[in-house]
Amino acid sequence: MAVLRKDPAYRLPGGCVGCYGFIAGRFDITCLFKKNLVRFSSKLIIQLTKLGRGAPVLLDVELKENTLLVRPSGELDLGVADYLRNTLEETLDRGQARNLVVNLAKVSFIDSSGLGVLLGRYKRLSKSGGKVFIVSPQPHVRKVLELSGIFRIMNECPSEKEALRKIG
Amino acid sequence: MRLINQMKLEFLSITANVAFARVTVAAFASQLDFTLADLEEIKVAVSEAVGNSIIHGYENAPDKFIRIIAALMPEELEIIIEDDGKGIEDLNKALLPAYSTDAERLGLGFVFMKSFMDGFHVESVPGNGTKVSLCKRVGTRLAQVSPEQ
Ligand SMILES: Nc1ncnc2c1ncn2[C@@H]1O[C@H](COP(=O)(O)OP(=O)(O)O)[C@@H](O)[C@H]1O
Ligand SMILES: [Mg+2]
Repeated sequence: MAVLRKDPAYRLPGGCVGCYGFIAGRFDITCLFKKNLVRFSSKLIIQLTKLGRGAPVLLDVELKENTLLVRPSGELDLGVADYLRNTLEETLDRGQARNLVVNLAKVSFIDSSGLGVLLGRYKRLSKSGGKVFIVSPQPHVRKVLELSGIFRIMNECPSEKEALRKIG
Repeated sequence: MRLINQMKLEFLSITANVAFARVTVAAFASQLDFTLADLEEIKVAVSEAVGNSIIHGYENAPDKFIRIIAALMPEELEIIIEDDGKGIEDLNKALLPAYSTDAERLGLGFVFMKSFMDGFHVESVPGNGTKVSLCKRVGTRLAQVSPEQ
């Protein structure tokens, strides 16, 4: 497990058993991960593969001023809900994020457990007047979001740039 | 109706098996002429039912079993998801949108199962398990016109 940390606002989420984790802030690192050469640059990346605990999720988190940009990839279901919830909560606890932009472009599956995590973070941030935006969900993921009525309270945006512009 | 294929699956009540169950059922379902969108909807419904068995039925006990039986007919897929958990006290209430016995949850699982499948039925005896029956028919959606056409 390699831990590289520059921004003290972030730390590896605790309590993850049987996982590989990386964390890197504003670094350029090249490393061997599961026999593949992986390169991370200028971004905070949390990589986690949970052994025996559901499909792997990759969570890419970046703080831009007071907005937390989150780019999960993989399948957001019950198997990863706790990890996702804890990571986002810890990141929000440590950082100065007021708003949240969730880029779903690389999410291939979501169910009500995954949605619950997003709605929970919405509840937290909206209490202090923060905004939450959903960016570019794939069509079948969008259908689940639509059916849940989530778009009645969260805005959808075609790009992160547009979401950041709206947050202002 | 003529049975083409059938499968039975039994697995432990751990959350890793939510993905295992939905992928397995979708792979089995793909022997029929379902669209990719249909398969995605089947996956959501299976995830919700299996997740419910784990969280509600077995209250997160990891050493219990969940059973799935799936059958392929020429025009439809039938899925039964069953647990021997605590069962549902008030089924009418449980089926209401946004109703959940867990304040942290959304109460949308049954809503998704019902909306994404063509047939949906729940049987439950308090203290004696829950059985969810789902059915998906092939080719019920209108053909989608792509933007290029
Ligand atoms: N397999 C099950 N065993 C026991 N109770 C269940 C089961 N499935 C559903 N329930 C009950 O029905 C309620 C509604 O289920 P659902 O619509 O999936 O919402 P949620 O899972 O978010 O609570 C649950 O809160 C639970 O009380
Ligand atoms: Mg549920």
